[in-house]
Amino acid sequence: MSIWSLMNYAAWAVSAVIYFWLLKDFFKTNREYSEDVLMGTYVEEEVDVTGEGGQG
Amino acid sequence: MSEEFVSISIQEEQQTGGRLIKVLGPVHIWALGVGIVLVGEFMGWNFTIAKGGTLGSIIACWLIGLLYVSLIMVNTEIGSVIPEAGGQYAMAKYLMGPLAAFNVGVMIVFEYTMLEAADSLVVGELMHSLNPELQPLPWIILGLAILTALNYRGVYATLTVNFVITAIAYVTIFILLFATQFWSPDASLINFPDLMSGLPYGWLGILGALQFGIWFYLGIEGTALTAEECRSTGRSLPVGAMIGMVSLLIGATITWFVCSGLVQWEVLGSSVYPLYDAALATNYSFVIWALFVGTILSCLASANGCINDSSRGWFSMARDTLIPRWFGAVHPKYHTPYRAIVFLAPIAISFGFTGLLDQVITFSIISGTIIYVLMGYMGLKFRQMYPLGTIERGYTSPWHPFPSVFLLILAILVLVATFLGYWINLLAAFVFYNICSIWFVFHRYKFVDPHTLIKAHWPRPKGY
Repeated sequence: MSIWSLMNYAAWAVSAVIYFWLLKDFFKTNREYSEDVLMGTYVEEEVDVTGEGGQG
Repeated sequence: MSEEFVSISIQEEQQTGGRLIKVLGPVHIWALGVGIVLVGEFMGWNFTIAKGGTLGSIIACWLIGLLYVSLIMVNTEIGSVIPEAGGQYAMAKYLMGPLAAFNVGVMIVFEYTMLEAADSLVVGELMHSLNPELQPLPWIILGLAILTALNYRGVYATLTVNFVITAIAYVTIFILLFATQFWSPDASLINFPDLMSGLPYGWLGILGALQFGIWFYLGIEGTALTAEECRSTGRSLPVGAMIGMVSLLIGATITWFVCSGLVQWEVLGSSVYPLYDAALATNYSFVIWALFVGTILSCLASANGCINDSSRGWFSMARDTLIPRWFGAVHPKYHTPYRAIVFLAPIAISFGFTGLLDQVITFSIISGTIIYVLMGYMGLKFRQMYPLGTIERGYTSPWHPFPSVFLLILAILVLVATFLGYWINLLAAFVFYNICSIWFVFHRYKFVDPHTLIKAHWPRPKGY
């Protein structure tokens, strides 16, 4: 088996590991937190037109 | 890790859970906008030359540049008073109502998801070009996996990485420019006498070129989608987007100049990687490698920004109840719209599997252009509903109503040009978005909560 074919397999393997981590965290988060905490809320803020900004 | 620390961390997550965090500055906005677009300098724009020759190409480059400058002016003015994720979707929500907003939202999602798929397809092809034994598919999947995970982990890291890879890709264009020694007519590699090929298909060729001129700048308007995550929306958005637009105008003009000067226009018009082909024409191995790296990085930066923007579009629609609210969740630890990111990943992968690069990218361009037409209209309507002085703006576009009018006219011209070359795709897009509208009106509209939909407490519009 050539080095190039091995690289193809390595790409598949790394992809599988990444997607596994992603899905694991996805389901873990869905399970551990209530929908009230997870649901996107929007806190209205004054639009900063001065450019001073501020850490959120 | 002590129990007390864990307890405090969970408390912090509970407090900020469900909220995107404000961590982005102008640099990130630049990285997002230019990152999405820059791939268009490395490929695609050169089809303008096949239609209009080098002269038609530069006319298209600057005319479409005018379209995008107008778009950025309108986009930034409206965006600076709507510090919400969703960009043009959020604008349509306030200015045109739920049905138009739903359509714009779906168009945003498809514009960026398809562009992301196209970028990953090119990465796969580039890897395959290194060695025939390297198959494109594993590299397409790997590229998307890494970028999806990055986006999942946090917006700050995502756009910081995007800044680095976009800046490197941008610099490679300058490496190519200086390698040509353009300043010295005797030593220069640029073929100045043949730089202008005239108009091989006359003025109609310029119209045809407009459709592909979009490649020079497609996606810069995506900067507005992260408005809610800016530390200071009123400063970061205008500064990042305007500098981004200037960077692209310079990059586009240099790209046209070096490619037209190094490669014959007939060859350039059908090239897959025009900047890389121009680098090959220099015969300098360093320049060739630099442009190879630049091409790959530009694709990755674009796909990265597209994941960011498509997920914000989908997330915003869900949070506003235009689509099932379940997608509107925010990761309590990473503060990203994680369900939207994970949901859209397989859709991008499935488009990547098709291998139909031209069809995928054409659908993306058509979706973007329809949004531009609506933005022109929204620019006029915003000033009519909220004249200067009635609402505080972070940025005020000069020369109103010209930016909106230019945007409207030029975007319609691009749609006409698209109709000439890709009328089936255009028709298919209209049919698709009409089906989406029918679904929304008959099946989804009853679930929309008007109190959730409209969040900002703006004054009553003039005439209402």
